[in-house]
This record gives sequence, structure tokens and C-alpha cells, in this order.
Amino acid sequence: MIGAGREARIGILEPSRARHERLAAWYDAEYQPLLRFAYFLTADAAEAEDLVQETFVRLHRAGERVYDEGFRPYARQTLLNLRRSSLRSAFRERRAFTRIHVEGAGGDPAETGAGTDVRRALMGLTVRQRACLALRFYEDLHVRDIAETLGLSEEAVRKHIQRGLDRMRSALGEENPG
Amino acid sequence: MSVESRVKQEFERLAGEVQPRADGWRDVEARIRRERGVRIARSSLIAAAAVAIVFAALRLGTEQPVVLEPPPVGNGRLAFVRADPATVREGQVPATALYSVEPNGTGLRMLADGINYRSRPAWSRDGSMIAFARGDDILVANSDGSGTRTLVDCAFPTCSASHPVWLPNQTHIGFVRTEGPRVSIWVVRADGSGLADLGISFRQISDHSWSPDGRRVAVAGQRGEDGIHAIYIVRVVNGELLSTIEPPGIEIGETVAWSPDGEWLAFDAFGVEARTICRGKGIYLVRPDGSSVTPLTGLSSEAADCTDVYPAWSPDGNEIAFTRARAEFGSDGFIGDLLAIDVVSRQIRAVTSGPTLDCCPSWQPIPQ
Repeated sequence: MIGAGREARIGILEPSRARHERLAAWYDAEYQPLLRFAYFLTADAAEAEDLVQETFVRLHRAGERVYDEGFRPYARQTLLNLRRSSLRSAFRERRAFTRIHVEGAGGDPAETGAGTDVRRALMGLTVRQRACLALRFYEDLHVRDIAETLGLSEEAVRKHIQRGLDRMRSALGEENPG
Repeated sequence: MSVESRVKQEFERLAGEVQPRADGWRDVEARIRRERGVRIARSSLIAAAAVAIVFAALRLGTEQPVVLEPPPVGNGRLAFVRADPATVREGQVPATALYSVEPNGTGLRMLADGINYRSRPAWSRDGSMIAFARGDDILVANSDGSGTRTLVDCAFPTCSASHPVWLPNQTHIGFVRTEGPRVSIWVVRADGSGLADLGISFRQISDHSWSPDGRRVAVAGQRGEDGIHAIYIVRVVNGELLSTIEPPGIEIGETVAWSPDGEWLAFDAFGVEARTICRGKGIYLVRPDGSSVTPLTGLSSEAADCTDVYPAWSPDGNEIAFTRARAEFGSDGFIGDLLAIDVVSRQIRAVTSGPTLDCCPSWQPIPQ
């Protein structure tokens, strides 16, 4: 009876430990690419780190629903949703508004992370547009892979890339082709 | 150089600025431990409550529950925020106006302009007045938009007032006041007097809705340092946390609405396991004790590229109006319509349509 009880306890504890170890292995392998992705979305080191940490907490909560092959898209979709969710809060919206319109007009570019026109234009895009452009032009992913990674349709990805580039051209004073 | 090359170059520059932390995993573990502690404490509370309920039931024997009749009110007009989609952009304030419309979509009327995006208006309990947020202030007006006056005068960055809710006692309006890092629920009388802090503070509040008896408030937001976004049920009189609603398999969204009979909460959420019609968020129902989570806007294996947000109960409790958006929330070209769903039959009907963003409905009560 004692043995059976012990096995039962191990049976309860083991999945939790295994989940934790699996998460640690994912962290070792994926922390840096995820942090880079988060930084592409925020251009803010502290916020990017916070997003990545919260993403791993959500992954832990998701538990057995996330498998090895599904980890990368799940992590990036979670991170993207967290970023979009955080942007929706009225306070952050206000802060972003202040950053763009007050600091952006006369603030310290090094402090705001808007060191170049291209940087400023990039940060003026929507989160999804920025994510799609990052995966397309930094990670060289094809539209199909971006769609799979972000949980979007291929058409939506094309639209986000096209609109993102159009807005970049417009912000940089270039003419849109066609 | 092409814009594509410049974008690639800028991402490479950004990548060069990334500074990975050596001890980040320790922080992740600490966050997981903290969240687990909250969950265990919550489970213990639920278990204790269940035991208490069982004992109470045993002691009560066959006593019949008290059934409260819903208040005799009819459904008036729907007030909502209409934004020009060309001006909806992250980090910027879009051009908006407050409108009202009959529930069948006719009789569109503009009540006020320049009002806050994502802060829904609130009808008084007799339907004769409406409160709304503009800039950092709370204003009230007559139901036709006349007689606008400022009720709460705030000045960013000192403070910001938003999310007005007319309380069941008809005399007070509750609202969210942000002052520095402090985000809390305040009340003020409809004549502007009696401004008071209820001492209900959160890390972030995206919406709040009061129970029909005015004793509890449901808050969608983040509470404390753990940063868990959930719906919190708080006792108004002392700020005591009564329950936390964070159903498994669901990412709680930003809005919450208490039903007129007090039996249900409607909220928006991302379904991780069960997708609703929209790929984005869907409208869900849950009991105030966190039980009976029900996706209201239907389940589908082939979700469309839309998101359902901002549920608002009809005063008779039979329908819920909401916004169905058809592109990314906050992006260029974002459009959304007001819809209404019958709570029992789940039939959805359109209220507004067109190339605008119609958001954040509030349903006018008409005393019978």
C-alpha cells in the first residue's frame, strides 16, 4: 500500500516536474530569438524582457497543450497577444501617445529608441505589421511560414506586409510602386 | 536603397541592440512560483467556500431560494462610440464621436464629439442622462446630447478619469481614476459633489461593471504584482476580494458586463482551446462565482478574421450588444459594427454597418 501511494504521488508530481524541465530546455534554446522578436515589437529592452518572461509563464500554464513542434508558433503568438493586450490599456496608450507626439517631436532620440527615420517609421506600424515584417525581412520566412507562426491566414500576412511597407514608404517620403 | 532593404537593415540594427540577461530564467521561475501560490490560495478558498455552502445547505434544509424579479425596464437606444477608421492608429487618439441608435439600427443621432475611444458611455438608470469620458474628464449630458457638463475634471499627467458607470442607486457614477501608478475606482454624485475614492486599487483596470444591488463590482484588469489579467469580484464597501475569475483555457479580455438580474457576467476573451466564431476574441458568459463558463458567440472550427468585444446587456436581459471588429484592433483600416445576440436562441443580428468603427455600446433603460 505504501508503495502504491508513493507511486501515485510520483505520478502526480512527475508531469509537473517534466513540464518544468521541458520549459527550461525551451528557454535555453529559444530565449534569445524570442527576446529579439519582443525587442522588434517594442524597441524597449525592459519591456521586451518582461514580455518574454510573461510568455514563458503562460507557456507553463498551458502545460501539456504545447508540444515541441508547436512551441515556436505558440510562444510567438502568445508574445504578440501579450504585446497587443498591453498596448490596449488606456494608460499605455496615453504613454505611447505622449512618447510619439511629445518626446518624438523634441525628445532625446537615444532615450526614445527612435534614432533614425527608419526606426521611427518602423515603430509607427501596428504590432502585427511589425511582426510580419520582422519575420519576413529579418528571419527570411516565407508568407506561409509567417502565417503558421503567427496563427494568421496567408492573405492576412500579405496584407500586413504590404500595408507595412506602404506606410514605411509614406513615412520615409518614398513613392509607393504602382 | 529599397524600403525592403532599409527595413531589413533596421531590424539587423535592432537585433544588435538586444542584450540577453544571464539570470532571466530565475525570474521566470519566480513568476511561475508566485502564480502557482496564487492558484493554490484560490483553490483553497474555493474549497473552503464549497464546504461552507454544503454546511449552509444542510442547515437550511428545504428552505426555498429567494428569487428576485428583474426590474421593470424596457430597451431604449444604444449609445456607442464611432471612430473614423482612417484615424485609428496605435499610440494616437482617433477622431471619435458619441452616437445613439435604435436597437434596430434606425434613427442614428450624434450626441457629442471628441469622446474617448475604448471607454464606453453609461446611461443613467432612468435613461434620461448619459455619462461619457472626454480627454481626461468625465462628462454628463441629457439623453439627446444637450446640456453637456463636466462632472470630473482631471488633468493628465496628474490624473485621468475614464470608464464611467452609473450606479444602481441612480445618484452616483463610478469611474476609473489613474494617478501616476495608482489605478482605482472612485465615485461621484451626478451633480459633481461627493467625489470619493473607494479604495479599490488595481495595477490596471480595463473595465468595471457593478452588480444590480450595488454591493459588488466586477473588475477586468490586473491586480497586485503578479500581473494576472482576470475578472475580479470585489465587495464595494471594503474592497474585499470575493473571487477571481480566470477560467482555464481562456485568456480574459478587457471588458465585463453584469447582467440586469445579477446572475451572469458577460466578458470578451480569447479561447485557447475552444475557438468562437471569430479568430480573435469571443463573447462569453460566466456566473459571478466563476462557474458555468459558456462561449456565447458560438464555436467554429473555421474561425473568421474578426474579434468580438465590449458586451452590453439589454436592460430586459434578453440580448447582448457587442462590437464585431474585422481587422486588427488599433490598426489602420480597422472597422467594426454593432451586433446584438439573443442570449437564449444565440441568433445574431446587425445593429449598425458601414465603413466605420462602432465600439463600446451601452443600452439605454426605459422605465415601464
